[in-house]
Amino acid sequence: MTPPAIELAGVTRRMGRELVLRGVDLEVAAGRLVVLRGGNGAGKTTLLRLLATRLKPTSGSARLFGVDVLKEPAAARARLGMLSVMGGSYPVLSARENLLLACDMAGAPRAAVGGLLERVGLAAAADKHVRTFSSGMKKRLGLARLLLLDPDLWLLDEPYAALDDDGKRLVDEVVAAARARGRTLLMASHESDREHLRPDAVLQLHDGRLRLAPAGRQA
Amino acid sequence: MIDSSRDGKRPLWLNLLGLASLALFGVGAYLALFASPPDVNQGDLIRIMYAHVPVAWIGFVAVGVSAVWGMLYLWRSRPIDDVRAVANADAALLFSLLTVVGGMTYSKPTLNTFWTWDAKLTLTALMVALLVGYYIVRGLIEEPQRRARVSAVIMIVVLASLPFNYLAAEWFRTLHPAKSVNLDGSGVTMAPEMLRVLLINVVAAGLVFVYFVSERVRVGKLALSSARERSGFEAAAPATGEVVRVR
Amino acid sequence: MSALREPRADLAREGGPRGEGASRNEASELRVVLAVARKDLLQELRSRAATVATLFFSAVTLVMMGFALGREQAVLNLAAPGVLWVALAFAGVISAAQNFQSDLEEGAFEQLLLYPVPRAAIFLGKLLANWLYLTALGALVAPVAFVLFGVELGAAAWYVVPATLLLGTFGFAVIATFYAGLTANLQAREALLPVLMFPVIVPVMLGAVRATEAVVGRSDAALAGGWLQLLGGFGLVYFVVCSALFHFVVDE
Repeated sequence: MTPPAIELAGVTRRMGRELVLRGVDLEVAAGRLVVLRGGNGAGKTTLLRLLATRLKPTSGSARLFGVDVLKEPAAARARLGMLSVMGGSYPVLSARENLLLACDMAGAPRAAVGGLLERVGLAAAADKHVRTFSSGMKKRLGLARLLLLDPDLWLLDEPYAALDDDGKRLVDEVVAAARARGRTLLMASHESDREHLRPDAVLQLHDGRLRLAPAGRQA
Repeated sequence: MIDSSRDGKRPLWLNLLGLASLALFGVGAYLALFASPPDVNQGDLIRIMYAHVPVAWIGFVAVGVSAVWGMLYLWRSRPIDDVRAVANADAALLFSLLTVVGGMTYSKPTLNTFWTWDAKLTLTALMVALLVGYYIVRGLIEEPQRRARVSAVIMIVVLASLPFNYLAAEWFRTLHPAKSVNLDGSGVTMAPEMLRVLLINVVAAGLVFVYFVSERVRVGKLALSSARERSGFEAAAPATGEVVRVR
Repeated sequence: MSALREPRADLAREGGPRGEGASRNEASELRVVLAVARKDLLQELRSRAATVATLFFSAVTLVMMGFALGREQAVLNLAAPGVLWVALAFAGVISAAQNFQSDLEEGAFEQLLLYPVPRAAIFLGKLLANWLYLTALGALVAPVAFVLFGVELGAAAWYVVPATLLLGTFGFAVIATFYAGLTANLQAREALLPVLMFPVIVPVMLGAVRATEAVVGRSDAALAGGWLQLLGGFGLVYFVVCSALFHFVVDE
């Protein structure tokens, strides 16, 4: 049996003096799309960054595809990619340069960049500095980077925020395609009711704990 | 030991250690101030040396010990190792401050200036600056694990800096790098009875150091367990028992 | 797992399909180091205003010190190496802080840390960029300092001064890169960085100043060599220590 994509056991995490996560136990099978909901400051980003190996749990354990993120963070990182709220691109580099950097960092072929920029609708702005981009365009660039990596686990932090309708449809398409390829997706979003999304589960993060939201359609 | 540290009482061995270090400190002070002969060149001023030299040595030892606990923390992430590292860092700061003060006291009457850019004194002053940086960073990080990791790293850097700072300070004074490495002191020969008094004072200072650090670790442990109870960050873990499963 | 593929998604995988669940190709570490260094230098060049300001900052420091020291030629000669390296150190701290500042905007550094590459490779890339930048700065500022202070250089200066610049800025860059990463997400970063760094780089400053001094108004290559060894040893030890410890300071 293949190990679950995400396995969290008793995960807590302090941020400053606050205990943001107070014991999260979660198991997500590979190939699922899970939407994570919760008010502002509920700890959605904390949970995503923790899965992305950027934050270490204060206690508890986290495994991605059976890989312990504390013991083998580099191996875990090889399986995941994240779209952060701000897009995560360098402002004084152009869109193309940002993607080329991603190619070098991930060992991907540089030839893919042109097609990806087209895919996310940034072909015309490819050589403009990201500084001049709107936040929606930055989001699209972040999405292109994620497409380039095409990791086994997609961590999406508010992917729909700041995007126009066209952009939101793009996210829907990309998500559906990744799902069709058997990828696991965890998406922090307020828009779990998007028509075409149909997540396998909707989770609610409240008071540092996680539970299945009643609205969630369970597989 | 474990039981007594739980209820917050000071264990017997620690009290005995405190008494022993106090007693030996008294003996050392008596020998230094009254029993030992005045120096041929420096007269009674040499008596400062009996306090100054042991204190300086302990300061460096404390940095080394703190760095070792820091490395252990980085290796096995046990909060108690951070407590031990900080206890030794406290001692290092205290003893190196005393060393700088002692050195200035010593150089005013002998060399008629408070600051001489003497190699070892300069080295100690730099160490004080490095340790102050350590505490500033500790004060800025609230998350305990990251604080412990980062401060362990800084202490390792401080330890690595000591030989370089020593060489730099030594060569700075002599203005020449070639004829310098003279780790045994200034080459002054010491009468055997003075050396004996010095060694007794070194042991006394060592006991004070061990007592200070042990007491500091004990207090740190108490703070650690009460912080744990307050935030419940270890108790919170197994509480739910409900795993959210998405199959 | 599903074998279904959306045709357009294939754009993302022109390098050929990869086995399910297999980790992607390990990027060659050299490629990573160079990519990070190129990115940092490109940023430095693009933020031209900041770069020019840093350069002028060191030039202004030289002039200020020249005024403060008076017009006694002998004094200026004695002070020139020290003033040069103080000016470089100040400029170096500013640029190291700036470099990480642009990294932190928009969460780009966070993204950089998500790639499956060793933290040490990222450290090396940033170090390389910092080192090249500081060396270039030194190459521009040193002649200005020598001219302003009317320094007569000894015969051995043509290789001692460049060697001092290379080794001195290397030691400096190692510490600056390391501490810039350590302080990246702390408050009061700009003030904190010099406070933490300067006590560590005392041997670098001293070695660089003394090595430069050895070829000012005289030409004592052997004396300079001793100090250069100190600089080399410092650079080597901290290079190893800081590359090994970098992941402890950037991970949260």
